[in-house]
Amino acid sequence: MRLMLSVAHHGWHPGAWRVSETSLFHPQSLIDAAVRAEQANFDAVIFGMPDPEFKTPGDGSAASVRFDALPLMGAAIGATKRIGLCGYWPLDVAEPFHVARVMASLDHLSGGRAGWVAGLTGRDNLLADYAHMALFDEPEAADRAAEFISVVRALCDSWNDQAYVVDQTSGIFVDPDRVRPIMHDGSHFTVRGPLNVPRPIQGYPVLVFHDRGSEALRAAVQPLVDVLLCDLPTPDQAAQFRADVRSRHSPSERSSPALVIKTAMPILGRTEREALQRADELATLEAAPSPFFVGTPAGFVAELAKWLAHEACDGFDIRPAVNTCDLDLICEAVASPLRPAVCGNSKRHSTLRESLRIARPN
Amino acid sequence: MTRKLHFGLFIYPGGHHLAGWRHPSVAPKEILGFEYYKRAAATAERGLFDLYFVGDMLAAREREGRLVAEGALNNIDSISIDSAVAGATRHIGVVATLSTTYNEPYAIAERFASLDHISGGRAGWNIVTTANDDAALNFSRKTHMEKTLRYQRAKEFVDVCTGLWDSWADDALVGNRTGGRFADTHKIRPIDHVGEFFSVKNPLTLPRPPQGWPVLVQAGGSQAGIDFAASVAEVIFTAQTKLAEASAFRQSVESRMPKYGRDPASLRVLPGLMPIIGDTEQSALRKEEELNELLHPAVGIWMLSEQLKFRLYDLPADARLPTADIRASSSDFTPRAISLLDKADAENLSIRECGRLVAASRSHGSIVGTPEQIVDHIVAWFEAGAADGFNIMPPYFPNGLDVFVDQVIPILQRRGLFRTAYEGAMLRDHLGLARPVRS
Repeated sequence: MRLMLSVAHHGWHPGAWRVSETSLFHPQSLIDAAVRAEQANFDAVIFGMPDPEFKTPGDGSAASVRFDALPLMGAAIGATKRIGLCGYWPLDVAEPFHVARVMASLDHLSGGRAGWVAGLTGRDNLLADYAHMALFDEPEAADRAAEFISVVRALCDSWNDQAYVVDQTSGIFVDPDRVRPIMHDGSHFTVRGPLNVPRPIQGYPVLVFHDRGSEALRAAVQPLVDVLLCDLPTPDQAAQFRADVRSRHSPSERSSPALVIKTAMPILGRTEREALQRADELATLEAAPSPFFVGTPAGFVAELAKWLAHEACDGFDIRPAVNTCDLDLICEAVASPLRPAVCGNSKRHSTLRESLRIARPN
Repeated sequence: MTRKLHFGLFIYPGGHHLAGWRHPSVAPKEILGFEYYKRAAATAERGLFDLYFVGDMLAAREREGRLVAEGALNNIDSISIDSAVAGATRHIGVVATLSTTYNEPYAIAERFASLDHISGGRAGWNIVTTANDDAALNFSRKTHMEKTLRYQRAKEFVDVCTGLWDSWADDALVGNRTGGRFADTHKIRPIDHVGEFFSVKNPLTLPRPPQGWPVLVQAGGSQAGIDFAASVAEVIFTAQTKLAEASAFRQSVESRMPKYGRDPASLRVLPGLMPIIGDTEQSALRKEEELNELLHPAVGIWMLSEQLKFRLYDLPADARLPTADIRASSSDFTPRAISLLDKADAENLSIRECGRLVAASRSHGSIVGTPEQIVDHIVAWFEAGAADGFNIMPPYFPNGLDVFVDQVIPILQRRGLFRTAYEGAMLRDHLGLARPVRS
């Protein structure tokens, strides 16, 4: 089982800040959460995921507070040693050259631990803040997304793995025969390249797509990404989705099909009763989507195992409802004696790709 | 309070001397890894530097369509380096370079607000308009935006960013847990900006940064750049190599500041300075010679061609630099290029010699000598008002920085010209700059 932890400021429940014991505004808690996830052997932490309801900035709610993922990824590098560091950077407000350059930089700095979560803001209340961005209709958005991700991949490939020579004796820093411009001229982007960062340690950063239900988008990006992050409500629906992803997989495009990672917000308690009380209390505080699971850490692990046994997904993106409380219990649950049965023994991997068992692209 | 010096550390892969990466003390394979950047930051913090400075480049270094084999890489992404460094340090400011020509203000305001919050108020933004024509081709544009337009865009870009940082009042967070009020919406305002280049409606996604705004840094020395600096820059990173020129530059910026409602006392000027330090003057000169010997001639001539925007590859390296032809080829030289052409004329320099000059210090000031001689140079510029300090550009890392911190800083401290401890928590405190009041 692959396990990722999405970090939100106070937690993923919109009422989290009201029951949280931390100070009202506490950026360091996001980095601390990554440290905790590493101690609990998570494969990766994800920063900057949007609130499911896409709050308008500054609407006064705690859930509208959003940090840019990139400085969080950077700040977590020194605080952690082996956990993957992923960041959400929606591609309707970005440029492929920036994404490739920044992700390649983070991958080198972190020793091969970077992941890019692509997605679409797709909301005009947010795009109103960007001069050149527009809402595309679905087929065009899908086409643009696929082209965007292809350009990022091509830029990472613009340096051959052997191009970075740095030979002090001869004075040759880079072998120009092993670096080539990409000369991309597509319907949405024109990018000459090459990148001005050597090929990332992982070849590409781990490429994650935030799937929000658009069939056209998923079909377009599926051959290009390593992970589909989705939020299907039942094991049956998820199993169907995963089977579909696998049936469309073409071995000529990639060695293995994209992993399906299911988003899951649990509300936990030491006892069933405590968990139910917490869920009730949170529900009275602020309206929220219903949680993935309410119960004890052991019950939570059993629920994850059930989804896996159903072949509904390859792992989970776990979202603590309240950082102070649920994160403790989640870390305890996944680091508990139950975990090896479900997750396998924790192995020490050096790159995020190795940890997720995704091949390095040639 | 007596005026004190300010120091930045300009980090670079390998070192600022273009052959720095070849110095035997450098481990060149490590220059992309976190430890390289962290070690330099720790040393700079031990030396009580004000800030850690990272440049930016949005296109590969090429010579006629191919990567320059002998030239070291530019810095990797500045936000990535700076946020990693911020996570590993406690006091030093972190300044990242981002272009206003190839970014959007909303994203950049959010990025710097995040960095300022995460670092506890230590962020600075080096605002550039990107001088490299090739960058356009990586961003779905056919041509690079013309300079006047770039600065117009930069001005509006910065106005939007400051508007966004000010969109939350300092006391907008209420935090009434029982009543369920997180923030007071009366103290958060949409910026509703509609301008020539941008339209931005919403307030920022984050509370006002700890410093109000990150410290605004700027580096351009052209006429348009000077005007822009006078209107927004709190720190200027300059490239003058002569004291008289540096003084004139500073006066020129200061004289324009009142026009923008700004007090010249709120400006810090930090020229770039590459120190090559030895126990004796002879040993320092030997170090310099050693570095110059390591310099591949192709690098110098390439860099010179780039800087003068004039193709010099086919000419004999020992021929005199064709300054008249070069001057006739363009009317848009950078101040650095003009000062180089003047020097070539005055000293009758060859292409090879000019290439060495450009490559050795990347056209910034350099000083070769004993720690005392370095101190004399720094103090002379400081006392003449040409500089408030320097952005230190070690010729190679880490030794070139270690020597400065261990041998030059203590002399300045003994003379009472540099702090002996950090006196505040934020970059603005180190620089003695006021926190901007929300407009």
